[in-house]
Amino acid sequence: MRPIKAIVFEPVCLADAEGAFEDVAPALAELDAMGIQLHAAAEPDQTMYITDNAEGIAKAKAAGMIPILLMNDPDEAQRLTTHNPAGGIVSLLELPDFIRFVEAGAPTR
Amino acid sequence: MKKVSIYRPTSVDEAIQMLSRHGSEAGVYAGGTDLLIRLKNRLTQAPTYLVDIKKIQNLRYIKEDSQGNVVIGATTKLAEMADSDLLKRRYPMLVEAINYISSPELRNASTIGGELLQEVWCQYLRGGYSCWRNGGYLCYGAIGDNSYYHSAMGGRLCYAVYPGDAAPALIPYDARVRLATPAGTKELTIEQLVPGDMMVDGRIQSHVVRYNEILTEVVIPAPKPGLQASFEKLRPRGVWDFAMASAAISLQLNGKTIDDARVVFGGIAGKPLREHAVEAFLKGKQLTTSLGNEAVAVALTNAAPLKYNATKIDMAKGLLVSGLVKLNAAN
Repeated sequence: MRPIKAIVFEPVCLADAEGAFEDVAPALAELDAMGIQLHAAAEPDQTMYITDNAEGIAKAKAAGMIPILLMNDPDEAQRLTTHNPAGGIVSLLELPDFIRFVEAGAPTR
Repeated sequence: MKKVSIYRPTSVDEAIQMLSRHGSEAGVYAGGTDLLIRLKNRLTQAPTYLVDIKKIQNLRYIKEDSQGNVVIGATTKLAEMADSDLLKRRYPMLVEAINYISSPELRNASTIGGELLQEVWCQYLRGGYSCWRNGGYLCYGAIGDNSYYHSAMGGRLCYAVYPGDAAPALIPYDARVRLATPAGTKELTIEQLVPGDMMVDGRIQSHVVRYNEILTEVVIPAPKPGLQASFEKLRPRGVWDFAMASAAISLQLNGKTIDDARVVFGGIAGKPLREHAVEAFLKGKQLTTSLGNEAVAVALTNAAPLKYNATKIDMAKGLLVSGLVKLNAAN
């Protein structure tokens, strides 16, 4: 995985009918401070696409982006891992660490 | 098992040079009860160059220093700690915890350094899944079977629990460790040593020891008069296993009055979890039979269990109660 420069979020990962999820604001603030573009403004293979469904994973792959699964429901997430997302997170708050992990050259030893 | 090269340095400085030469491809090899299993399980993250520190003479001892601390060399076997009269006399709770670790056979091989720095025992990692600790970008424990070896207190990419029993038991004694590094000796508290998942040299690990550093020594201060401690552990199998939950408690008592307290939970989070809210609650209280039930009300209020492991929180709270009951009965 190349260093991440941008992230595209499916709207369903950010809010529902009751409003924005509680982890959205702090996660976006930290990503912004890291200089991550929060709209697609980078090479596709340096852009994460955050989705919680199979269609999103397929859409990201078709666009050459990096499909990252937001694992809301554990059972559904298990099923979706068979669609081979590039990675998975439990909360958007994990995205900054995810990006730092990639930046550090991991996971190769 | 992949092919490995083994170095056998005879000094800490030599070992650090070997580790530095191979970067994160190298790993310290002592008891082998964790490392060799990672190799046997063909994990991507297992090292290729093993630096065997067993031949280093001055790393295996239990002794008292001139300041009254007890110091334990990193390659000291857990069985030697369990048999130590000095430890039994000064830190009986630590010895109790050591006796809860795995089996007698494994305690004869495992070292205190390896016990403190062991890799997590998540069944997905050990089963070779491509997780955060093994070449991938996903925690299978967060979405799979997380009944036993995963955090009920949240996570940071990886949701495996810190598996050790010695670290939770050392924290109530305010123990520290010494690391040999290329820049000299570094000293850390146990909490600083195992702060939970950290990104260190491009890897996710539970401890902060860098690829070219070696844990050389554990230092335990002399307990003050009136210090009483207890260790409780629940495990999936009654004979030997990792903790579903554990509780290490120390109370600095003045009669029945608690002047100070340490409460550390194991097996429920990515680190030995020091519960400051309970410690603050206990301070100044009288040790009574009902104190445990009162303390539970302020314990682990920020729990964040996964789908299958909420019971860990109930277990930890139960151990807090039983630990305080035990301490009350002993005083």
